[in-house]
Amino acid sequence: MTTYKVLSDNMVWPQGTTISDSDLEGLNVQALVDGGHLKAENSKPTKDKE
Amino acid sequence: MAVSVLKNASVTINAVDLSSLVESVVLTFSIDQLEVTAMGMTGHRYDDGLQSNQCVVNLYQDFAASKTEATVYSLVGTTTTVIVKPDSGAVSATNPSYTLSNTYLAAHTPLGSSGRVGEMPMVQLTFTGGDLVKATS
Repeated sequence: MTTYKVLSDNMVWPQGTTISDSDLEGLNVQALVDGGHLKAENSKPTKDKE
Repeated sequence: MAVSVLKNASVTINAVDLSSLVESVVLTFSIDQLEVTAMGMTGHRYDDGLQSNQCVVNLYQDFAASKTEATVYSLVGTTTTVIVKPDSGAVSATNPSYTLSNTYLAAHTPLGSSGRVGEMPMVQLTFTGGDLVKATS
């Protein structure tokens, strides 16, 4: 799961908030990153269940 | 008579509130009209088809961080969600929200539509298609 930090002050979430992929459903995430609104924080690989 | 006057409409594009840069917004909720007229009928008959929505937003261009250009440029040729409200306040029966999801942006006019000297460039965005949902709470 990738999480993103809100960098700008005109998004629907307050500046500084950390949001996840699920919060961004239906949105163009790449455009938000390109536009400086969001910054990817981390990307944790999911473990395969054995 | 409680008519509504647009003074502080809210326009959110791709989860970014650009209301303070919006000059006008026109949302058109439309459903395709499919003809089902058959022999023996004396007039045209229609049935409903798919939604065929459109949202046209005119914005003042602003190249500063997180403003018009930063928000819009990378949206061209993709789909996103646009939310429009008559007023920026809480959603209610008298201030419904209209959420247009999966709507496509085909073009963007970063230097305005005419590009004349001395002109304030206006960005006109036409979002087409997508699914419109109205909420009152």
